[in-house]
Amino acid sequence: MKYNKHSRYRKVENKRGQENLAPALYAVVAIVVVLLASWGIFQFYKSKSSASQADFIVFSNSLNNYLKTYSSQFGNVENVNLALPERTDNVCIIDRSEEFNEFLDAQLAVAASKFQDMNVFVRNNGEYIPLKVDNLKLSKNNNPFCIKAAANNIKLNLENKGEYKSISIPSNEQKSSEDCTVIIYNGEPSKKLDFTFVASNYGNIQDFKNDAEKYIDVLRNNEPFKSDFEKFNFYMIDGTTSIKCTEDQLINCNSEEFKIHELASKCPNDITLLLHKNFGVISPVRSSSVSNMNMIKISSSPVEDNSVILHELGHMIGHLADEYVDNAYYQNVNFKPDTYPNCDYSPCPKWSVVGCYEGCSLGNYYRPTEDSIMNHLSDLNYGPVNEKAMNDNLGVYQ
Amino acid sequence: MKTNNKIWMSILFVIFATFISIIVFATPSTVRVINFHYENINGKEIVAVTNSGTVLGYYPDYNFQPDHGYMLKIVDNSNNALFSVKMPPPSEIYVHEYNGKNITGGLVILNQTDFSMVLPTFQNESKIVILNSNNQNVMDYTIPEQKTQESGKTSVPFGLIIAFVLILAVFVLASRLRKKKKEIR
Repeated sequence: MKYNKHSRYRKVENKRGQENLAPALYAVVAIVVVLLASWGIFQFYKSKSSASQADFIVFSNSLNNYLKTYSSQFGNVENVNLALPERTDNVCIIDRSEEFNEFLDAQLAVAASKFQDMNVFVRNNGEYIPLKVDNLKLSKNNNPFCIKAAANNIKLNLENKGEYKSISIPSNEQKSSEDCTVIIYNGEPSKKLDFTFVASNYGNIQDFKNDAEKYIDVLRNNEPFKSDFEKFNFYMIDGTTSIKCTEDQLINCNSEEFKIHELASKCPNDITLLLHKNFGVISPVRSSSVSNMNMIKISSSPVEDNSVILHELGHMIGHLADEYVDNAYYQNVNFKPDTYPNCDYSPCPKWSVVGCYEGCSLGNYYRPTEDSIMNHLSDLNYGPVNEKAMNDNLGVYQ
Repeated sequence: MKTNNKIWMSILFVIFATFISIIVFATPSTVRVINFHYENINGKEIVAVTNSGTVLGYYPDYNFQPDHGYMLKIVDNSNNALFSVKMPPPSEIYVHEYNGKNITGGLVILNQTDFSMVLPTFQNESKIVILNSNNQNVMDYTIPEQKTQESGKTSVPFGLIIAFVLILAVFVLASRLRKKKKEIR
């Protein structure tokens, strides 16, 4: 009787236990199935990624083989086609035995400093993957050498020079564009005033480079830049196609401002000089020094006068006022000379020892010299008062 | 002996600090390129962010700051300034026309304009604030939080998570079974 009672009890409990256990069991089975499926997917992607790693190895091995030289083939030129892993958009090669331009590509500079024993960097999925090859030699002005990948491929011209092969881009292939190129480098950017040229409306990179060099020459040949020329570095964004400002009363880049600064940020850019190519011969040349402190826009045309850069830098570096009189402009802006070092009330107590000439932005204020670059473009001197204001601010650079 | 240790520690510190400073100056950093729209509506100045993004690059040293003008500040959660720069009002631009040796034009005050800047970034940055020449706040922009990890990348080995969950599931199942067995007895 007792036994029966127990057995009934056991039976009831057993059923209740089964009822309790079933949902938990289903949940555990479901979790296991989901996890196994996730693990399967994870393994699938992992295998794809290791396939991609294999592609990188294949690429570096192929490049390595192509770079091997045989003296009997001196002078031979090969046009080689190298396959790259999927989602590769850029390949850069660095000759570590020579100095290389670390400003060409900021992302590359970081990767190159992190992986100092690597010399080939493949940008895949937005990140540079470091690789190493032997027998690499690049010329000083072509180091690093970067090429855009097209459809997961790059084409290179390799010329056998005996001990090494020179690398160049076939004429129909695209070099990496809109990178930072050094024009004049005098030292560590944190200690120098860094000028970066950005092109607008140029069709030809050489035109842009020539124009940039003309403006640099103006600085090289005129005080206060001439005496301290080693305080300055000059760079350019190596591209001509993406910025298209318009020109009406002023050089209007409203829709391009972001892009201009994004490009300029690729180089050290204490001052950005936007050169806008003006193809008109008849329309007057214009330039403007814009308010956001570090950008000057200059229109370059066949009738240009490059000395306008000195005038604009006077506004930017020395906070100098215009010394010519243009009542039409200055009567509308409630101009007062108080905050400008080169404009004063008569009898010019700000500088006293120099002159006091009538006219400084408005006819009723006074300027320190009869003529200066802040008055006319024919006089390339700032004059002692303006030059002191410039030097006070340039003094922080070494 | 203790003094020697101190000297060595100081030397190591100086070497380390120099090394770190070289790295900081030699390599580019993450910078914020930011585009603003300025508008003056009936004397009230408003500045708004229209585009912003971070890239690896360089920001200007902003050494030519005027005595008076606008002030841009990057602040942290407690409103402590991490970076500040004084600049001329964005509405003021110099427009010059020149033909031959004569130059005309001058200072122009615009009602509205767009302007961009390249700014440094900080780990604990919270807002970008702009004050006008009268020290009035004309813009308060909350910096969107940066994703610390790129999407699609697993931070902890996936296999470990699976193993952990499986062990947990087995443990739960085993304890249930043990409980059931006890009840049966």
